[in-house]
Amino acid sequence: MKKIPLIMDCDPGLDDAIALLFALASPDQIDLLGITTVVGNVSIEQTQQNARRICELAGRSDMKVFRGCPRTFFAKMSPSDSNYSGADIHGETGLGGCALPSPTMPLQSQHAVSFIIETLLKASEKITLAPSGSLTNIACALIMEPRIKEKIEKIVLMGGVIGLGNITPTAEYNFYCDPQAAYVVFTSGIPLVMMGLDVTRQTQTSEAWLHTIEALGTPVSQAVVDMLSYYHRPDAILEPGVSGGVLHDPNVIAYLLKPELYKGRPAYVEIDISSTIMAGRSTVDWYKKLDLRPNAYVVNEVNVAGFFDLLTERLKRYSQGMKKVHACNHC
Amino acid sequence: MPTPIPLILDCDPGIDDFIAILMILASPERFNLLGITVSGGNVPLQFTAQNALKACELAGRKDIKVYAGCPCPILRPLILQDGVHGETGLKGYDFPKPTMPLQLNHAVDFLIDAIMSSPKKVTLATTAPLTNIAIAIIREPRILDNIEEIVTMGGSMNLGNITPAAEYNFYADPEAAYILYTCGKKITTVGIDVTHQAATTLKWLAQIEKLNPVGHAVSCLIHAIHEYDAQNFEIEGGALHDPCVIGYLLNRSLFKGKDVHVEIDTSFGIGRGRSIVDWWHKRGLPENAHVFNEINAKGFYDLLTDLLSRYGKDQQPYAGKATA
Repeated sequence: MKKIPLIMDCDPGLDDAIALLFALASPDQIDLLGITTVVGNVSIEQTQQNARRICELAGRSDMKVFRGCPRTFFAKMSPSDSNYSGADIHGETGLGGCALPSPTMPLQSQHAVSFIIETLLKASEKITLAPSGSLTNIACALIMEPRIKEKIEKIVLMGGVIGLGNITPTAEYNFYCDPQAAYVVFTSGIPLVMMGLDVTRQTQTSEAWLHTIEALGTPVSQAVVDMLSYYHRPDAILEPGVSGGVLHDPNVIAYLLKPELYKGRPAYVEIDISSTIMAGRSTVDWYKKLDLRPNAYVVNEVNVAGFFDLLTERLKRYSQGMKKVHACNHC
Repeated sequence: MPTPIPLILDCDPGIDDFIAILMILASPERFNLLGITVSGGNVPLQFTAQNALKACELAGRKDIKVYAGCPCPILRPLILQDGVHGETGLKGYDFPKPTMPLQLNHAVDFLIDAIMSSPKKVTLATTAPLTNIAIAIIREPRILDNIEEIVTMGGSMNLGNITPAAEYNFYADPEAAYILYTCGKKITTVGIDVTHQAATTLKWLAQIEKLNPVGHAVSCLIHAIHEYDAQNFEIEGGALHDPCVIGYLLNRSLFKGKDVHVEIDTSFGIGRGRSIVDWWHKRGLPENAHVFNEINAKGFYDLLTDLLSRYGKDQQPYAGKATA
């Protein structure tokens, strides 16, 4: 089977970290060209370090990790803002209760945006982008060099919502942090797959699944459990409307690996760039009330059992013999 | 004599940008021009890049580095000003195709690299829609720590020139202007409130036409905007918007203004792209701009005439000619 040439753009972040482990366990299906990081759940210094920590945990210190934008277009939210929920949900370091050692693998010196542009311009085949944070890096790349559009196979992104938001009543966190960037991506004409909260909220961790993962007995599985147990603490601050950890970002990878797990439909989506209560909302014309051309494939259903089976199977791939790099915060 | 200041010009030539470049290149004792960055603006990027090269060649400075940047604004398609500046941006004079090369780096990469690596703080002069500057700030906000001053041509506290509310550069990319005016630095703002006070006169045009080949070319170019502005804005002649930025950097005493709060309207209403200037401090918000409202027009034209006369009477060979 032909591998998917992929660039992941992320802000790890607990669920981003799981998405990275998911992708790095699938080299038979994904040719991961690089990981670009962006400000989001935590600061850029933390997201770029966390991305490298996860690569080292996965035994992939050869992976290229790039530092991207440390702020969003209008910088309405930053990790120092009091209403910025990232650190509540993801812990101070962004990796919950999992304390991985400081990374020793290098950070690439090139800026994430320059890497995206250069890689796409010289690509001989189209490349897929998988953003799971604010779309700041992708938007900057599109504004600097619109010709990259022709080299993008599609963008499969975590963001937006058809129904209720999680950071405001109307908006999902990634889009709310950078509505302008999301607007740029959704008006670009590039084929988009939108994995919004409607679908990602369906993939919640359970104590039982965490036990299954813990029983795998590898450093990776232990790290996954340490990260996600953060959501199962008695005092855990959870997103509204959920009972466990929500694996938002891993849905992007599961969709790439096994699209038949998902259902959705093409729809017109418009990102609200006003400064009203609608700021950052993705208005989805699900019932085709507007006479506008669909600009995204909006996913709303996932086979939850199939999703967790696939994730479990991939996490099993990390060998038992991997060097124990993990140490718990509380030890 | 002070040492030349490190300067980057971000522009979209355009006739008035073209003259701004000539002013800088006539003042090597004052400016160490690190590079010229261009974006899409008055005319599309391919022409603004060519026109910047043409200005350098006219000034005999093939060594200047010119970088092409963002072709279009952040959110919306580019709005051209080719009715004013002509389809290729330099209506009124036919320059030969430039032979000096355009740099390969993207303007945004250059801005970040040049500012971050400069041993002295860099002055940034902008005379275009602010797309290049905004993307550089988003990608690498630390550049702001090594910028001495940002002098921007844009905005209006009274009437607009592209809509009743908005000036062209800000209207073309309001989101980029918003990013600049919320970046934490005090932006020196040359709006059309002052640039319209320093309109060209036919007498002055006749004077510079005879100076030298550069003055002749400039005179031919300005005739286009002279008539356009005189007809559209009830002023005597053409407003030299972008040269005012360089005029300020060379002689600050020519301008008067004050520290105020400025907010850019990024709505999609009639105010889109307007710079709301709180001239009377009604809002009590922190001052994020120094906005000018007065210019010594005579002093400005004396300066400009002096700079243009620095180009030689026999500055040739240069095979340009007035458009027939």
